[in-house]
Amino acid sequence: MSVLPTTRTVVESPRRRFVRRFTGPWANRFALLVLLVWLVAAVAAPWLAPYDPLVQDIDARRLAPLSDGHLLGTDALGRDTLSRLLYGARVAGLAAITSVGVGLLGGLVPALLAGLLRGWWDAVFSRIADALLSFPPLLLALAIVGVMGPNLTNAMLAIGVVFVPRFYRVVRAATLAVREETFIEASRSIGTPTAWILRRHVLPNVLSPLAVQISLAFGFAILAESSLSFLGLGVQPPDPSWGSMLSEGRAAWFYTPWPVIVPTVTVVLTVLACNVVGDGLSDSVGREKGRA
Amino acid sequence: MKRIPALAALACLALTAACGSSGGSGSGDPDPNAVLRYTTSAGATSFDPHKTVAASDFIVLNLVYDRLVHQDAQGQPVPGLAESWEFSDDFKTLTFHLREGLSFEDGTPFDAEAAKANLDRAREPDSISASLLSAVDSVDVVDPATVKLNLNSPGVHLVLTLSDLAGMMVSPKAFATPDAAKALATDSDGIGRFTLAEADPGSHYVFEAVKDYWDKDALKLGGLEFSVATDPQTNLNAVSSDQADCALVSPAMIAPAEQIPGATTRARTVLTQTVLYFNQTKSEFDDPLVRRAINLAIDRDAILEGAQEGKGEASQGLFPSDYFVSNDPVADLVTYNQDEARDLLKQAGLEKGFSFTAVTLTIPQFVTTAEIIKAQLAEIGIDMEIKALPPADMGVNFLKGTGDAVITAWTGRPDPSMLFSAYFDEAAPQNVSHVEPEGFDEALAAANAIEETAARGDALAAVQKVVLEAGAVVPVTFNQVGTVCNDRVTGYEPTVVGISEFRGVGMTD
Repeated sequence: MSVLPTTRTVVESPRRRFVRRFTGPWANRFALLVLLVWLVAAVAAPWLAPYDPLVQDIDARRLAPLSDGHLLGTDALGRDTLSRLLYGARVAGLAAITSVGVGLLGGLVPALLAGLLRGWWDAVFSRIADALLSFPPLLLALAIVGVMGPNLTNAMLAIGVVFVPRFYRVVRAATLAVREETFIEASRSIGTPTAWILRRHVLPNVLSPLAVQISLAFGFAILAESSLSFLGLGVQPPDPSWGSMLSEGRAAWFYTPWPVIVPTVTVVLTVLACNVVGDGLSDSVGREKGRA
Repeated sequence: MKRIPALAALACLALTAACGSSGGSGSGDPDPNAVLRYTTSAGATSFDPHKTVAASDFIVLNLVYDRLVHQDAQGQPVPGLAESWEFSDDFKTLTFHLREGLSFEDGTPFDAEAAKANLDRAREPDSISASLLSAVDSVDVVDPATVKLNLNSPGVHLVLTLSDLAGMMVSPKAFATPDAAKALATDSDGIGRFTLAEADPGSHYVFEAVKDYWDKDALKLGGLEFSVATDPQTNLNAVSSDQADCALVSPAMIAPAEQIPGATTRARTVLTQTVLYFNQTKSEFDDPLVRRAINLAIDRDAILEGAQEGKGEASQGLFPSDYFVSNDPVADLVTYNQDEARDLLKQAGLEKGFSFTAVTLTIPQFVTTAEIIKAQLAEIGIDMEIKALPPADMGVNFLKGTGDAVITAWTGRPDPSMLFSAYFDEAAPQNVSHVEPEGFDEALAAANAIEETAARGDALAAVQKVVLEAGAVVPVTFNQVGTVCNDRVTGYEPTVVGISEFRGVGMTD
């Protein structure tokens, strides 16, 4: 009466298996939902925001959430908190994408070359990466912004530079593992150009660990942008960013806590979501472990 | 049974607390060895009172340099290193009789020669006080305890002028050579209540009390530790967690400061004011119509409410409303009127607006002020970009040409003529554009020839009119500032000028 073999073990493609494993835990689904909501918020902020995030109304200062016409209340200058939060999501998203982009741009190719070719390529690039890694990440970003001047672009570049050695390390390690595989050896033995090997054979095989690293980096980038803006080194007033909202709220914490609570919860939730997604990705790629 | 001792202890505690806070300040005799820890928002850029570029350095420098003349809490002149002074009948010579038997930190005796050397140095072209002392032609040593200032025009203003940086006395040895003068920037050498023992420039200073200081009533401490934190909340937290005994309280922090248990807040509206000041060589600011338009486009009440929690006063001119110089003549130059502002811009050919960059301090009050001004200027089509810089760099950078205008605090000056000379005299180093309003010199000279207060007030009001008709500055708000001190601190009184000198302040055990 048995119905062996089950269809699943036979036909499940790697992609389907990944999706099944990733969407299994509720935390992953929830985190993904949070990120999607912020993605939509960031893209559609001009249409979703009930008010102009910069328009002040001194007569409507420090309204509590759920006040008349202001779902999340207003700040010390009477600006709508929800609108600022939505526009702040744009800044956070832009900062994350740009800095991760800079990190990939600077880290990926040297890592592939170093991993595949070894020799002096590896020696030179790895020492540079070690040097960059020896700085505490936020301190390095602070120093870069300090020299280049405080604005969002510089802050994003600075965070990107922080990512370069981290991406480099992950990709290089993955490349080192792949280069020993026989299909690479075979490819080289028939004279395939290095660039082709990298693109065709190595890159697809390092994407999984890279994807995990990228999602974790998103979380860090959002946190770092908030930190820099909190310190006045990122987004310049009056433009909203979650970090600058927090800093403005903190200055008047005594009068009302809401302008602190709202951006804080937002940053915590978003960074947590990035990290949960990162963990979920790392659990869902590669071979199935410990399952019957 | 066990409850009784606990209750008794509680009652004792309540009693002690009640006693401790009664009167708002400590009881008993001050401890002469106590070290007062003060935390505030800015340090000193230089310990050279004559060659510094920041008038606000007075806040730190008054601890280590006595002046010829001192000020009381009401901003009136009282004897300092000079025991007395007198004018000639035409106010064209001013004679100081110096205190005898004093010497500088390095042992050099203080006498008329030393005073002359200092006054001459304060008049050198690169001195911050040069324009304030432009009425002085020469300085004569009459005898070892008397100096005479020969003036080119009546100089009623000079007495209070010499109670500021201009009147600080530095040991002549300390500026005898260029190298020595350079060292003066980081270490003081004067006669004062304290000497500088340790300095992390811009963040932390340790001062030790001078033994046998000449004014026993002014010095009741063994030392003073001076810390700098730009964040006002951090300063308050320092007092509530007993990491500081006193902290500067800015307008928005008065209400939170009043909630700190075991501490007393004393604040008043002072001469320190928030202004928007133009670099007239940049953007569109060479046109007086544009500058006047901005003066009319600012709703100062909104700024007072939004940036200062209503603590202080919306400016109606360059002086607070109860001051002896009236703001009436300039009322229509600074009263909020958007339509007229638009008209003026149109006359200037800028009906489509323009953009400029304003630098400001990273201190929350100033960032908020800038944000409100930005929003108000946007309504008449002017786009203002805000660039916030740390207090240590901001002033210097603006003077070097960063930004087109600055939103900052002008620290209170004991005599109104000092404010005028420092920012509107074309030779003044702080007058970034080196442009002078027409008729300024004559109006100011007239005011400085009158000793009687009411009449002098009228003459100074006329100077104010000259300045604001040229739109040379946008007065914004006056600040209510003061200090919150724990209840061990005695004798603190906020001054009308707005700078806490801590003269006569002590601490009980």
